[in-house]
Amino acid sequence: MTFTKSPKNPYKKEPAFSFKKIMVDRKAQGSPLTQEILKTLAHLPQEWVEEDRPRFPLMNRTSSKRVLYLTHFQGQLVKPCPGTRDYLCCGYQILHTAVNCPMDCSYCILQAYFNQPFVRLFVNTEEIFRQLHEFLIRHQDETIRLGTGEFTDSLVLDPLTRFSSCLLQEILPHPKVVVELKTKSAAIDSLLRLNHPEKFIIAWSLNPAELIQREEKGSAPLSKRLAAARQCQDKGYRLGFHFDPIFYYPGWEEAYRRTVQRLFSKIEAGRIAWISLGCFRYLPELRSIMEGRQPASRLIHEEFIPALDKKMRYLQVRRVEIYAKMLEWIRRYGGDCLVYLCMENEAVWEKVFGFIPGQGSPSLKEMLDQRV
Amino acid sequence: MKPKPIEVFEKVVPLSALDWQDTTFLTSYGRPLGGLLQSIQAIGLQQPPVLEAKRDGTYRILTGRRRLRALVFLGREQVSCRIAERGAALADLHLFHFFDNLGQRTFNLIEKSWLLKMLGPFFREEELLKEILPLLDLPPQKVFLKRCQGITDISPIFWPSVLRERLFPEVIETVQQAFPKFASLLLALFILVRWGFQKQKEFLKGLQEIILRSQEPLEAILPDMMQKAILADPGFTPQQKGEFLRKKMRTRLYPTLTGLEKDFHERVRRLGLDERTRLLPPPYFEGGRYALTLFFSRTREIKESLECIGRILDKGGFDDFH
Repeated sequence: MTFTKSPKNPYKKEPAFSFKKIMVDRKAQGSPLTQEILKTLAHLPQEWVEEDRPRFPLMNRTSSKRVLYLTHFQGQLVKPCPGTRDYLCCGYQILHTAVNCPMDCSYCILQAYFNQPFVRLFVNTEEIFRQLHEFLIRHQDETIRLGTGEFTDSLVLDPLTRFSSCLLQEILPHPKVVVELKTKSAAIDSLLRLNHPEKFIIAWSLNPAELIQREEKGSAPLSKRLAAARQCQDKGYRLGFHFDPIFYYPGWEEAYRRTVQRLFSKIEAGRIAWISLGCFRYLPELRSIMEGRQPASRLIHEEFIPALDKKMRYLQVRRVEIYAKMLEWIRRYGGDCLVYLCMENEAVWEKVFGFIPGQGSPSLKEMLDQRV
Repeated sequence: MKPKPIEVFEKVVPLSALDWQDTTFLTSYGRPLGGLLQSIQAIGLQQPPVLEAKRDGTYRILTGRRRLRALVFLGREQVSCRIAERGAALADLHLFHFFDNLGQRTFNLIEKSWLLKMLGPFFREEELLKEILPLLDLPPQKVFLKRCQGITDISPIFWPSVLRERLFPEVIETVQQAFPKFASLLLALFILVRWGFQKQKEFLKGLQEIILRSQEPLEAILPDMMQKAILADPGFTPQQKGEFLRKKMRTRLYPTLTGLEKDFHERVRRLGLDERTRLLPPPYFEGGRYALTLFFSRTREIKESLECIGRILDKGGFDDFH
């Protein structure tokens, strides 16, 4: 795998994401991607990590997000989305390329999910693509929806890594494979230069503009996300939108209705592969982290209950109310898009849609696979 | 933080010359005189108090206030004391007082708090943490120093409850920080309902959560929460009053959930299940799995209960429960 140097460094244009320091795992020194990034970010101080199990200095989460750590990931790099028993999973496959991201959403579940510091970029790309290749050969008869946005943002580091173009080369020979790139950024420049838009679904996480401004620090504002989505649509990409997490707060209805309306005023419904809905849920550990880091945020101060997957969720009746209204607005402004619920239980599906996937109808995985 | 030696000389002092109002070195709290009185009566005063002569001719008590009180109680008129030479720095006198007491007894929490408050102005926080807190059997951490300061800041009427472990330093700290205007009211409430540490903590956390959610001040929330009529009613036990408060708190924190519970119980009541059969909702009404439990002692009871369930089923009575 080779990485060509772009004439400019678009990454520098994004001050919100500018790292303050690079740390490099000595094992990752020989990686072409490491060399490329060190050249691109040559102005940053570098620190080399020699130990196998390094003990990193104690650093708060905000500072930790300003450190880019180039390392190898030794484990399984392609794995199914970690769904839970009582909630229906869409069955997509995760390609593990990085952990954490330089954006700083107050509610980010990764804060409670990982205890590893820094934005960790796995630069053992040969191993990543070797494992991906093996996986795709092993599953060549199946429809595969692959995603890189589970543990990081799929595109925010793309100006630096140009990973999407490498990924395209790898999946191009596999007609039943599509990659969903989920993002809160507007970093689409490299995508606009690629051919074969049919191999990607570019997806944005959406929330009302004022909530983005308040709670999703460092991310692109709603207008920029939609503008980027429009550019991708014009380039021929199919799009995905994830209203996930949806928050319940005074005024949520009008805020989300307007957001749905804005979406469909900018984007052709026919170019949308799917829209997912998922209400805010969190590991109990996240609460104290949010209270400590974002004392002004009110998102956590609502009526939550411990759900069957041990996460805190809004009450089921509340979630049903939220989803039903979201669905109504999507139908009103966008017509007949495929809408699904992310990690919801059968009772909620039945109340919102009047059916349960997989019970006399295609499973959720099949519903989404049919769109690929 | 070594105390400088204080030069003393012996003198017999009339007890009437003591300045009892001067509490500069008063730290003893919550110690009845009973044992000390008997000891003095049996073997006399073994350890002479230490005094400091004041310019007005009276004496300030440096150490031995309880012993002196015991002597007054026993009707003595004078006592042989040690008098500190004039000119000693106040900081050294405080250290003298501290180490003199340290050698003779252990301190309760109020006394520890007072000792720290007295030493506070004269020493750096670092010194207190490293050198004094361990001598008081307290971990050398700021949080403990702060909590002790909190104890001296509350009204003395609450100190007996601190000693009896009805009020807790951590709770006092939260009350002072989060609800300074209502600190006394809340502490009195906790004593009234006889809650342990966990319940007190939960209640305060709940109050903070309600304030954050409603954006209302505590004064707007408390009247509804507290319902004076019930709290003041001697017909209710402290436990009942406590349970009432906890229920109120739960309703405020979980309005939808408690509403669902109420509605569910009403619907179950209308079903007309017999008393051996219980219908339970999913935990927190999450998911769609209800449980129907049947209790029985004889086979005949199963039959009767199932017949009752069958009749309700035929009428579609369970259709609402999913």
